[in-house]
Amino acid sequence: MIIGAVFIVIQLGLVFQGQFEKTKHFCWAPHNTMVAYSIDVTVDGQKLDIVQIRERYAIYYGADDKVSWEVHSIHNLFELIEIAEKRFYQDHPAEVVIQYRIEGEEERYWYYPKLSD
Amino acid sequence: MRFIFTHPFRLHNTDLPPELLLTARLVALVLIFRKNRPFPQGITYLRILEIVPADSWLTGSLLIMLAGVFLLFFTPFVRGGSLLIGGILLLSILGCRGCLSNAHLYTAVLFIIIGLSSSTSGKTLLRWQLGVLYFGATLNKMMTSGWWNGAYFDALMIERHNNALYIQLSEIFPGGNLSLFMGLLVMATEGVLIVLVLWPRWNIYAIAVGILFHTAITFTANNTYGPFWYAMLASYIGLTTFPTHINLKLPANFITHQFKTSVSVLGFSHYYRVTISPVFEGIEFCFNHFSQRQHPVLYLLFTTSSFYYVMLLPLTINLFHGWLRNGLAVILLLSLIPIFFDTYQARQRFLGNASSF
Repeated sequence: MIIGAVFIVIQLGLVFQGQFEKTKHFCWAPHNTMVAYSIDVTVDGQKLDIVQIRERYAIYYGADDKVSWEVHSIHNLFELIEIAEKRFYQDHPAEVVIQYRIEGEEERYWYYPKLSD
Repeated sequence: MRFIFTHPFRLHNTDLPPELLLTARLVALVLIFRKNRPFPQGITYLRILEIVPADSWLTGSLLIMLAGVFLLFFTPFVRGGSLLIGGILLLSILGCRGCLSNAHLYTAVLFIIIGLSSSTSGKTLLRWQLGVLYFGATLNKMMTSGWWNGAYFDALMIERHNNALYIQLSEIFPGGNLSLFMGLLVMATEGVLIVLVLWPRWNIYAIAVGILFHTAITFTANNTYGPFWYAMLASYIGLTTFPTHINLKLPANFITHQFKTSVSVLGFSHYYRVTISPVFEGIEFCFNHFSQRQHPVLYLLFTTSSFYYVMLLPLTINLFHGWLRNGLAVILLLSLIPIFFDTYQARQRFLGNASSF
């Protein structure tokens, strides 16, 4: 009972912590946003296809031919790509552009490596 | 051999409340029949998980999950089995950032919560877990602008799903009013559910609202969200008060040895205390508090085996679409009604007793 109560309290803490984080990993935010996006990845001057992108980042990207949808915070995807590049692909770094649109808002772009001002 | 055959239908002789054990077993079966395996290793949340080679990760985690299922169905160590399944599912989510899914996360957490429950804690942990889930869902929606201005539902139903009915309805209620209403309705329902699940005396209403809410979402989006819809239905089955006593009143010519054996195999006699009394007119069955004259076939709805069949039928025949899916879902929901009434009458009786003091 006590371990179970602690387990619940931890989740409650994560819910509050999630309000101050863009990624919202484990704060019970199921299907909170609808983000339409597409990814372009270039490695050593060569563009990767959908299958190669899926394998590189272990994501379910481009499940069908239409636009992909992210139902969690899109910042989760940004963080994932940054970590993957830094952790596994320093020898063959990629240039990544994510074109995304949150619920009918204007289109935005995210770049890796980040563009210098 | 007989032990292995009958054990999956037994809900007693463990430290778990029978409703929670049934919940865990229902969700475990759904995972098996849907082939919901633990996720493969990807970009991990915890670097320590990378010490397990990616090749062994999937096989190892699948074997651990199956070991948990075996413990859950065929041994008295049901809490250990539940913890194993939930633990490995949670680890597999932590081992793959790209696989983050609240549907699978809830399924994992449900097994862990059931594994940590006991006869002492009863259903308290399950109620708290549902409370935290709905609290997080409501708070996060309230902090997101798309839920207040209707943009979320427009993107979901029109842009993503191109739902013809929704598009027609939004023409009847123009100016984004339908999307706005839907957003507010979902937030209000989840907010109300926090109170209903946390207060034991309101749980009966939580069961009704919760099942309707999640089933409506499933049908509207035409998506069960992996094992989520099943996990939620099973969670609400866990909140019911399952009958512990079924009294069968049957004509004498019904009470044959064969009849008793078949009733026993289906799961009556292991948990329910069945009394069979010969009567000359009609057939009557009563639960703890609910009594009704019904067709004997209805008895089959209240065996543990029947819950397995009804929950799994849509999966096993691989026709989870169209009218068949709707029909089977309706059967599943209808089968809960007498148990719902029984729980309701138990509550009324409890309130009646409480007020007499």
